[in-house]
Amino acid sequence: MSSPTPTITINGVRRPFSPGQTILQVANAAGVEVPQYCYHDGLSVVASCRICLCEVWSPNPRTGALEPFMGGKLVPSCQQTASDGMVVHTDSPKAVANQKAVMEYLLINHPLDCPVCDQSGECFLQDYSYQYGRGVSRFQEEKVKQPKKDLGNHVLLYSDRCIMCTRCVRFTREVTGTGELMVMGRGNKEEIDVFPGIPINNELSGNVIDLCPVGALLDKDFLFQQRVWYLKETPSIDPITASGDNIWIHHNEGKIHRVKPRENPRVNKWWITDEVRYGWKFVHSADRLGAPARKQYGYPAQSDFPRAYEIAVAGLRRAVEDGGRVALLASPMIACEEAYLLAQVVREIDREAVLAVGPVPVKGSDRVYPPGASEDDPRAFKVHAEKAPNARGVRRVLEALAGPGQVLDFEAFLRAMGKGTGSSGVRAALVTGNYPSAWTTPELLGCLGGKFIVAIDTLAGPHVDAADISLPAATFAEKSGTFENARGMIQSFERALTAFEGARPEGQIAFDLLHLIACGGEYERAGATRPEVYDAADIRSRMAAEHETLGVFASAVGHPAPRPQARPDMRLVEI
Amino acid sequence: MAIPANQITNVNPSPLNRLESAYLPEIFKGFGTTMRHFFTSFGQGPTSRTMQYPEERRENLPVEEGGINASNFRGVHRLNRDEDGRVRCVACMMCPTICPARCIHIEAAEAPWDDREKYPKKFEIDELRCIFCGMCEEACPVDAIELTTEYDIVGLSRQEMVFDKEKLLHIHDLTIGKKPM
Amino acid sequence: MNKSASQLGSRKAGKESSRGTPARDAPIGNGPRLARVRISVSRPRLSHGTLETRKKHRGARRVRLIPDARKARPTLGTAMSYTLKAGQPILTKRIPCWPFADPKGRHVVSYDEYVRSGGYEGLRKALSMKPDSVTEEVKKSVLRGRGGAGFPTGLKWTFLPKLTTDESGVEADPGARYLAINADESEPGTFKDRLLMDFDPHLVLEGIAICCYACRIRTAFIFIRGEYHHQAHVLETAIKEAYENGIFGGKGLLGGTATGRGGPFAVECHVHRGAGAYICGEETALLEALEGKRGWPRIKPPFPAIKGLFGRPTIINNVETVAHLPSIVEHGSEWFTRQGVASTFPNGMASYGTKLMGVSGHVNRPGCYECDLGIPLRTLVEEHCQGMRGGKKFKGAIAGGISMGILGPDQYEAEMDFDIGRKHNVLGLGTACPTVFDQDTDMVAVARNIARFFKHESCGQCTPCREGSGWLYQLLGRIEEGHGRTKDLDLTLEIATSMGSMPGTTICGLADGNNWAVRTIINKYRAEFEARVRPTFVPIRMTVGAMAKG
Repeated sequence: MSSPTPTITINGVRRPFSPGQTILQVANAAGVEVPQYCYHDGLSVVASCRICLCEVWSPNPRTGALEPFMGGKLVPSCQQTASDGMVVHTDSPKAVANQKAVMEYLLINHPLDCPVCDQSGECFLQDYSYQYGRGVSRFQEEKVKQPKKDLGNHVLLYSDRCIMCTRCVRFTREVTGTGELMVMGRGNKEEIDVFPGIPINNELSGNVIDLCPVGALLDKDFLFQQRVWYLKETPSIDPITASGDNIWIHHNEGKIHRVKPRENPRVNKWWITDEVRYGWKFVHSADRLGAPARKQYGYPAQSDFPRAYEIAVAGLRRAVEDGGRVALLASPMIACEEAYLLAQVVREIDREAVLAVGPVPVKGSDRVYPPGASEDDPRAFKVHAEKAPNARGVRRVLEALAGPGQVLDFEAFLRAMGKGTGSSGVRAALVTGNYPSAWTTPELLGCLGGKFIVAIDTLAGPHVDAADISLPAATFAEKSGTFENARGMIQSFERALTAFEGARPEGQIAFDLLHLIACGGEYERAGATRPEVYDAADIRSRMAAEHETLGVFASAVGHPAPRPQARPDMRLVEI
Repeated sequence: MAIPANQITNVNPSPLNRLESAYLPEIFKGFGTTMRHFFTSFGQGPTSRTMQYPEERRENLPVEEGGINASNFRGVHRLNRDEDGRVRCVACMMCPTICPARCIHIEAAEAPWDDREKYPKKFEIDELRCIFCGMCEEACPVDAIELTTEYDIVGLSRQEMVFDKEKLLHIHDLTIGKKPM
Repeated sequence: MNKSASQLGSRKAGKESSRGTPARDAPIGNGPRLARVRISVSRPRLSHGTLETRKKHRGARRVRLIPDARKARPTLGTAMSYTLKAGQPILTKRIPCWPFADPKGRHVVSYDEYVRSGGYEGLRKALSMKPDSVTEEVKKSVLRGRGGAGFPTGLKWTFLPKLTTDESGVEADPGARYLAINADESEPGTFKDRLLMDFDPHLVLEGIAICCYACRIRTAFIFIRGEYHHQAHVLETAIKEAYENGIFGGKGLLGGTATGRGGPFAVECHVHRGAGAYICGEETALLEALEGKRGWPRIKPPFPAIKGLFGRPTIINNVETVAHLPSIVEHGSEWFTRQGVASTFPNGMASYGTKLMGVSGHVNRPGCYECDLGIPLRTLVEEHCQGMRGGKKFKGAIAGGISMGILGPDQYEAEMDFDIGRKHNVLGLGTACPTVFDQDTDMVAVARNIARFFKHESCGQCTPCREGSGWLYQLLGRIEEGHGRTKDLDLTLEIATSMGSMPGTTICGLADGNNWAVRTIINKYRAEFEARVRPTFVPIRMTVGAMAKG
């Protein structure tokens, strides 16, 4: 009777499942669409929205004949665990009648303000009312009106629109363990609220906005910025902390509008911190460098790439010819591939170049949510104190080139540059930044003095002004690459935007410099040759081929999972 | 979709005789029409089709004689005002979404009024790009954008033809008498 | 509907005639007995003032579900026409109740008085038995839960996880298990548990002790509704007395009496006061409330007997149910099954025992009566309650607590037992506390009032109940005001069908209760509703087909 792998039949198609899965989980995994509001993979099951109810038949253990399960009651599929041989109908007349009824109930007190609601376009209520609801409203009475509330630094609540799925309440209780949100009142006057004077300001508060299936919880930062159907999404990796959270960049017309978490059960589950969520602002900072600059009479003057490159290569070469060393300060904010290419540039000029990893900012200490949970708990969410996405990856790449233990950290780099002693063998340095905020320290500035400095950075700063050549770099959103997070997971990200003005990815700058070096340092001799075009995937395979220790870049890179193909929401009609 | 054989009628015109193949009578007949129009259309003659714009305007003519039907004519846009004189638009972005010419640009902001969430901080229509299809009017959920009967819009620069919110509201004030909401 | 002035004058004549009516359509079996009652019991004298008040009520929209307390107190009948099968009251042994004694003599039964009148004998006997044989005895008695659903108590107890015994016959430690006594009596029109808690709290405590022993439960919670301030106080005093006299406490039940299980068995008992939500009477919501959370019903399974309070096996029983336990243990299950009635359905579950029935509404002597299950509603009203108030005609009665639906004018003979649901198209017996309506009652207002109650008490967890109950109330309000149309009536019925009566649509039964109440009222008094609504006209267009054209 029982097959080796248990199966259930959902809407006529047999699906295998692993014991313990609920019917809804099986359906979701198999791509069978079952409407659902209150269910979320990361939260406990309350089965209160009642739209996922389905008709279930299960085989009688004695006779094996199919019998109505639970005496023919409609069964909440989010709560009922699947058992072998079950037959589930989510499209039977009974189930459909319930879906229609629930949709009607949800809509009677829901304001008709889709035109001004930020959620419209990605709203469960809209989608399901289109698919499962009825076309007209039979509700002639007064709708219950509820206030708009300011819940915290990032969250705004439109109580009117709330459908009381309590996902947000469960999030603050089960994931963050802070429990700011609660349900107040009873019946149709019920609303979500915070305790007076205690707003929802925890580190993960922005996630309640994503969790809200309707437009009740909205992001103050994104409020009225864009209609969501204009947004394009690109998978990316958290660019400012070491946790390597998977994110979606939502952007339109070359501007990031918001960042949303991308589900990855091995890294960030379904959540991201507010730091990451609102950490993209530096991409559109007014201080972005848009063009190369060279030092003229002691002051930076705007230049162009060919000229800046020529001066840079000449300056670096002169340093070597003078018997000095060349150093590379590879920032932990740049991608592994870029660090590899930049290291190649300096090693092309100076075989024994000093390779160093830039300063790794640390803020506070690591925290695990819910408080008190073990880090290995599958539900726990860890916030890393280390605020650089790729410190490990850059070190891994540089060590592969220079040998283990040969890569300096920032302190050692400063000493090598002559901090304290005032004398140093290093005559020229390639300094990369790409930090989200000003990062130059007085020590660094002191060390840079008197040397030939090529600064590659995104934001203006004292070291950029002090540099002989400054080259505008691209931020994480404007290039592709890989980051290695604190757990040693290497994850790739994709380019979302075209680079700001004249900015180029560090990888491209490295290719340009390599090309120029190969041409002998003068574009006049370049002839018809062109620099290679930076392509992260290509470089990854090259890295793996050239260095055995970098084989992980061919085998163990986590790529963004392809977005499940959305079903067309209108069927083609044969004419 | 072959035509059934029983529905095919073979037409065999009789061959033209010599006089007919010279087409002379037809030529004179044609010239006659030309000359008749030539002589009768002097000034505002009966066969004249020239409209004496701007003394004569299409909206004053009956529809059969080339006038415009005010109820569905698609002229320049206007932004309607509500009872309190505020812009009706709620910045839902339906019109820029539907616009095939992509000539509408809206910037939304939180409304300064209590009874509304959102309003257009900036509302621009590039009348030069507009193809006057009227889709924006159809898409509008609050009847804020409407096409009027005005068709004679002029400007001395391209920039001038990008109508902003103030101008579109002003068109409302000018045309509300002619074409009520 | 206003017939005040003329009726005032012809009061006497009207009374005569209406007195005569019930006798004519009285059931054959009860005829003579009824007649005797009417002669022997003196009627209450209705003062002029009372009439005025009644007139006002009739004119008012609101239906009073609460009995009029200002009525003249009737005297005890000289001849008692009705006796219990047991010969004397069981639950109300120490509480004077009509028709056996004048309630004037009611007082809180203290521990000493309780023991003097044979109290805690049932517990003593229970402790001498093995716990499983106590359960077996209760199971054999077919004691059905008195809280509304009528689930057999003994059977419920057996759902607890089985305990293993080692070779020497010693049971394994069951770990933490809990007993939750549902004293959250919030159903409108229901006031039976209050009587027990008010005057004979030790009866409840003895039942709790027996239940705890039978189920090896060491902690019992009495969850009492927030509005029962006084009752909570009485219970707390009684528990204090019980602790002082060694009934509860660390030494063991009955001062550490050796039990049939071996050694003493200690039970702790606590009173927990609710905050006044109707939904907390639902067993899983009660558990949530006991845990200190919001009273939202839990999804089942897991059932409380497996995973209940604080995640441990929990038994939830009604106050009246546990109050039955001492007498069952003392006199045996066979004695218990002699009372009440067997089911009239083949293989149906019997309704044995007596039941407290709190009658309210338009009757002459509203109150709480102990009757054998199976007593016809007519007997209850005509004999115990001394007939309809003012001799009016019976129009209907809420079967037992308003979530059970309504008994129509033709269901006056309905027998108050657990079969009532199947026989008379109501949800069930419920708490067996009928609210009786006379001929002048506006049933639309009744429906609206009931809908209002459920709208207010819906916990708001499940969508259909949260939104549907409010919609239902608004619709019924509109119909009552005369702004409804026939299609609104259909819509009301549809909502009252889809909202929870489709099995499994909501987590708990509150929506179901709302549906049953509203649906049965509309179905049984449809004409009254239709008189209120204006017809909906559907435009009919005669379409001449294309054939006709051609």
